[in-house]
Amino acid sequence: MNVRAKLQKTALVVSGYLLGLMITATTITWANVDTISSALGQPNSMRIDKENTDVKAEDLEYFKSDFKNLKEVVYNGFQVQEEEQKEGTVLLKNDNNALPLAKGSKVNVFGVTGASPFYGASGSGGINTKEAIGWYDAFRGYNHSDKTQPNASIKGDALLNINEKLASDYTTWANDSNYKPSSGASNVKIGDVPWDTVKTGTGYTDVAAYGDAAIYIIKRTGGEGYDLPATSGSNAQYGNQNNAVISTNDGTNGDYLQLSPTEKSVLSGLQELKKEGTIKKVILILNMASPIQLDFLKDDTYGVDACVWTGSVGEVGTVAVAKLLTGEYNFSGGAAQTLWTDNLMNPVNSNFMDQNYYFTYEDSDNPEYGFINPALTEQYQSTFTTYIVYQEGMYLGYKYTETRYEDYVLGTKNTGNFNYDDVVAYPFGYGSSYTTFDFSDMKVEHKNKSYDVTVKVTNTGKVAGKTPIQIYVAKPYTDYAKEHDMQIPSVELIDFGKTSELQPGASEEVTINVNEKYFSSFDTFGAGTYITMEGTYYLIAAQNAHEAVNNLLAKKGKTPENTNGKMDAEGDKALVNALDYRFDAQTWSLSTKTNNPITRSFDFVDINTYEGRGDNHVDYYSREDWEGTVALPERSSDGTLIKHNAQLTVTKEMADSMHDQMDAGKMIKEGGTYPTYGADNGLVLLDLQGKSFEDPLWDKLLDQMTWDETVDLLSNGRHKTQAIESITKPATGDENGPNGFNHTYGYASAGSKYSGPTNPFAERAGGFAEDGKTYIPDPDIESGYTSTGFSSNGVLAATFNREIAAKVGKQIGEEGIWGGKSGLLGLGMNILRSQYAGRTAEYYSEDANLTGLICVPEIQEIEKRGVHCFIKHCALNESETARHGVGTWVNEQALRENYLRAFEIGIEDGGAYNVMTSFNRLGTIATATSADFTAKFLRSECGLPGIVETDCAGDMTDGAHGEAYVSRIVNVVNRATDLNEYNYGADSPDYNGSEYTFKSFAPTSAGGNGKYGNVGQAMREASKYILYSTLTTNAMSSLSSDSRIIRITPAWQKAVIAVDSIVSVAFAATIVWIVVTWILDYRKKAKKAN
Amino acid sequence: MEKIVNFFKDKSYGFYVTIISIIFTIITFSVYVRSYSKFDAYISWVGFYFMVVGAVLALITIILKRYSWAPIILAATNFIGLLYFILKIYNYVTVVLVGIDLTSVSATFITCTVLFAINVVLSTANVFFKQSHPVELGAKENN
Repeated sequence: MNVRAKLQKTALVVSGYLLGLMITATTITWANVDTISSALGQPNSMRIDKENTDVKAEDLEYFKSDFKNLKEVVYNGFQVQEEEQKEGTVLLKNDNNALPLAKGSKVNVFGVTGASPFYGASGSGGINTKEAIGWYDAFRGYNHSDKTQPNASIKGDALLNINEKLASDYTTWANDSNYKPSSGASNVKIGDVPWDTVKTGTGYTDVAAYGDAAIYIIKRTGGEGYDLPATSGSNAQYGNQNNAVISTNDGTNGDYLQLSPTEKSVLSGLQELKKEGTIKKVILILNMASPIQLDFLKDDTYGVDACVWTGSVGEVGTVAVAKLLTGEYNFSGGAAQTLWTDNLMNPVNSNFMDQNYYFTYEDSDNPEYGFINPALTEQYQSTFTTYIVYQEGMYLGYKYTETRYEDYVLGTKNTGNFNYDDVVAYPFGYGSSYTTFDFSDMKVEHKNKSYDVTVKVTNTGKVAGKTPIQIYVAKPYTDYAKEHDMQIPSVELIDFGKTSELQPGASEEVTINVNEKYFSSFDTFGAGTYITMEGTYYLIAAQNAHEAVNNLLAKKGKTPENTNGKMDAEGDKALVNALDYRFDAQTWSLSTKTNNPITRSFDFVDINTYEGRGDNHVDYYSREDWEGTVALPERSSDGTLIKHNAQLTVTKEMADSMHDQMDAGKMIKEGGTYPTYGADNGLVLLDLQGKSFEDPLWDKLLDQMTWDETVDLLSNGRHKTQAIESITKPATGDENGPNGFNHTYGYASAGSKYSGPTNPFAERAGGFAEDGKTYIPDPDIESGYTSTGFSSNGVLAATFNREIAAKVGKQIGEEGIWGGKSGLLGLGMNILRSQYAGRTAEYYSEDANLTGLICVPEIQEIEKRGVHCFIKHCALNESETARHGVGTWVNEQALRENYLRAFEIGIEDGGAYNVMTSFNRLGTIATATSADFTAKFLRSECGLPGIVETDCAGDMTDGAHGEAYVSRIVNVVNRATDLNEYNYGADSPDYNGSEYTFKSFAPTSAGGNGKYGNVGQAMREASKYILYSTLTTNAMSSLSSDSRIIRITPAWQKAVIAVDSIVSVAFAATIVWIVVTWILDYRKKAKKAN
Repeated sequence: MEKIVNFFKDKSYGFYVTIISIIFTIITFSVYVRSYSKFDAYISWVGFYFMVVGAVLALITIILKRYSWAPIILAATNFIGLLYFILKIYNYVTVVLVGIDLTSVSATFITCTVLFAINVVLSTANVFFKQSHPVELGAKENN
């Protein structure tokens, strides 16, 4: 081969390969164009303002900030988060006043968590931790106290003198894979250092010198995408395709939520040190959102003197806890979830722990069902084959423990032997303090559909403090309820308040306005709506749920003495107010928000009422027969679990339902008239400001949108909404998450500087230029400042303080303004159904009322700043295992009262504008595609004004399991979902394997067959909700009626096009070169031959 | 026996690389299809078919004694197979990078990636290798 031929071959290979790679790269990047643009901070739209306008920039700020510059925002975030942690940390145990420690006490801090705190969860609940203050530094006195440089960690007076050598040992161990805790979908490890190893460390020799106390800090983590294991062994809980053994962990019996053998060794070691007098006391800090079982505290196994629950501590929560430990602050938090003595005593866990509930099949082959029985194959098929039944019905958390306790005390038949202490370590609402409080002089005044409940609270201790006041309702469990399968818990939290800081001996009358609506119960099988029953209702003031029941029992004349000791403490009947009611099926049958009727709507979510149930039936827990209906999980001798979960068999109807709902070809019928596209009506979105959703001007505006713009808007919603040129709709930035924003400030995040900013604050922070029209950039905007990392939401709930919630909400809202975000993908308003849930740090409480009510001021303050909340994941997204499409079954009363209630309050009272729906199915119907759920509950009952979004559709398109269970097209056409939170580029197929795009249903003008006007109308309605929502966000700031939005090609795309062109030319040139030389050679040979 | 000896007598080292490359191609697409056939999101059947066709055509060219075409066909089809592999598997890589549903890459992914990489490198390098000795080549071969 001659040199030229070699060169040609090389050129062909190189240019050909480059061309192939560029085609591939271009295909991939074009399919993810918006994701890449967002990541690079290169927006695809740009604002053009009219020159010489008289409009001042300041006048175009439709949502004002309370802060002058970014440093103020950042500084305030640290202060608010510390306050949140201060009031939400719960003192569980404090024997012999072990706490507070004297300031400057010499202490040993044990546990790798001391060097590696649990600041926040993983996944969508992740928070910024760059400026977080760790446990050691908090004890050393560090904080973010300098307003002029808020990120600087400033050393103040040491709160505690820690054994530095021991801290150094643990810092090393915390990075040692043998001891380092880990978490994640396939790698859960508690970690920590065995006591024998601790004793070999250099710091151990100084333990006696720091013997004022031993502080042992332990943690449990969690996050999106996985639940916490309760046992080791083979299971499919993490969605691995082969159901392989992957949950082996170092917990006792593989249980992540018990003390591990290593932790037990440390506590035993500390107990010995205390016995021998080397240390004076042992203080345990539970740095976890998912509490471990507390049998060892209840039994005093290790002589722990004091125990504090902190949740995940956010950026500076450690500082608050340090101040609490040393008495600078006083505890005032109350647990927002039941703390169990033994997690196996929580009956929910029969239908939760290590969830691996596959449908059984009527016939093992069942080819007509269209999916494979996973028991027969290695294939993982969670989206079609897993389910979970909320068999506990109404009896979730304290509603179970307190109700069964009351029935036990009252001697109700079929209650069984119920030893409360064996079940509950600390009841819902419980929290101790350095002082004590007395509740008295309860007064109840009926107002219009509400009660003013006034309680006099007196500080009877020796130090100042504040306390929550919890108001419970006890409804009558009447014959009517029994006849209609209604379950009525003993007590239910319906509101709460909190005192101001009371000095010793001081009193305060706290008045709490209680919504009478929460007296009603949903009567599925009778009136088919909310009712109050004939009988006596009680309003109860208490410091926790158990005290509420004891107060109720006292009102009923019960004492420990006359109940043979079954009642475990005296109650205070003076804190109970009896109210007589008549049967009423009218008052609460209409939505208090929309006045639309509330009717029985969710038969399809209850397997007992679902039409295609076949022979399936579930016995929900019943007060009538505790022994017969409650089946607690058990642990076998080898440590594995025996769960008596509800068993379901898949029916043909269920299988068809699951398949059909994702088949656009089957679900979408021809018919209807398309709306107008591309009209020239001269309107911009801003012209609709202040107009109602029904205003006819909306139609004129929507007529201006082209088909392609509509498709683009509905197809690209990952953490944003698209800009639309024809109506001058700005792009919006929507960001995680459930615990507040998680962003770094900068121009890029705001999309400003180069384009129309989603919000002007990102670049105005330096103030205005002399002309009053242009901004002077804040020099700090690109200095790496980050949004606040808040504590786990259970901490906020535990504050029982609406003012704190409002402060947190205000901070999040401000961070949205300054970060150029107009949507928060949160708050996390699902229910802490089981402590094994992965997303525990994102959720507030086991109680829907507490969740909803504490969120109201938080949502209000966020919304006030033009940041719309996408409260999520609505609804029944209480587990992560097989979350993609797991069929979730629950009866309607429990669905409404225990789960939907939180969202209902968030929308109706909080004013949450948007909702993100759940990953799971409601029965067989994926929430994202459930027309009934959106139309009846979210729109008709709650009056949701804005966007219904789902992040399940995209996730399944290209997700880990690669198995779709919804169609984004059907979601929209069903009017169940307005925005699929994913980027589908120009209009890529519904999901891998689907042939459908929006274009499949397009009008002829857009290249379709023009037969699906109904699809066009549904797309228009979805667009309208997105526009209506956008109009009331801070994304509109900086836009005047003269402004225009134009779409631009981001710089990176231009670069890719340029490279594509060069490579194509090189390849073409190579081909030409080869062909030309071949022809010339051929001619030469031919000539020679001739 | 003599036929066999004669057959290999004029073959250069490139020919043997071609044989190895064909075998490697078969191994690669077999492992690929076994690993991902149940995952529509991650498998490219187009890429798979390209590799199958490439291996078959390479064998045919050898049978037809068009030895120099075999490495070109293999290089082209294996490279196209790799591109289609990338086109699909990036979805999986994205999931891992997001770190929620998956936190680390699987052995399956690593195996397939390594196989595809070796396959393409091998078949590409082979394009530049001599397949047979020109002296003993018939009129059909001039590599």
